[in-house]
Amino acid sequence: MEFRREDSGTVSAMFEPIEVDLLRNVTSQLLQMLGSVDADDAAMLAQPAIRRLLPDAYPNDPEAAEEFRRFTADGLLEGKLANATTVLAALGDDEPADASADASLDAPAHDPLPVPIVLTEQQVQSWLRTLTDLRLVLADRLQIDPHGTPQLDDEQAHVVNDVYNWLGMMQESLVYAIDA
Amino acid sequence: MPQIDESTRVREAISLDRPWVTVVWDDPVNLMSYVAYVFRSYFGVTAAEAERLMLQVHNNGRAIVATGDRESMERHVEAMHGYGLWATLDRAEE
Repeated sequence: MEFRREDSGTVSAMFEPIEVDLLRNVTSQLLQMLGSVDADDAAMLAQPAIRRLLPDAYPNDPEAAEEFRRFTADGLLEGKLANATTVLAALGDDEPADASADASLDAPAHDPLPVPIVLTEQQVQSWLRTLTDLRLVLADRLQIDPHGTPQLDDEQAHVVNDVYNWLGMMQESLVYAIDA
Repeated sequence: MPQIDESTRVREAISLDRPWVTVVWDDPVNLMSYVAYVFRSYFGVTAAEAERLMLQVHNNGRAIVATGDRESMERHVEAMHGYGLWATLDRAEE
């Protein structure tokens, strides 16, 4: 997966089907998480992952920070939800179960073909932000320290870390594609 | 002396008008290329200036990316949060 800018101004990349599934999976989880956030629920907003998505604007003034959050949290959450929805939409529908059953009857088994992902300038903006949000949430899960080293050490840490780095590569590739 | 009174008053007035700043903090998650891109595309600075600010964030732990009235700085901080950057606002130092 490497994004390139087309002459038409769109940015495109070929994704392996497994990459599409993976991105769809984590983005759906992000959507669910964002959708469950109640901007009036102080305890929920205090959770580290949520706090990183909606940081304190006034670190030394809790009252002003609270007021800032009251005025901005809903809008920021809405934006993040819309961005993640845009990412999901560009990944296409999940393959319907009956269609793949039909295919397996007629066609011999073969490696699934790469999927072209084509993004408009506006979609790229949503992708960049959602990739950031995904990485912020995963970084919390991985307990990434200030030097960028994950402190999480359980059986899933490796897989989560791979996904985290993969999302970073995807974002970098997008930035270079639109910056070029 | 009246002149001293006057200059004190002026200094106070200036101090009351002390502007606000938007501060972006270093975090281990956001990529340097992305942070520079955000500065360039949101604040409309040149690529070189965006790079300078990004490196300042990276090397010093923080950088002041904008100065102005409180409302504008709140708008910038909100935008930075939209990008997923860790931004705060504060009074400018004297």
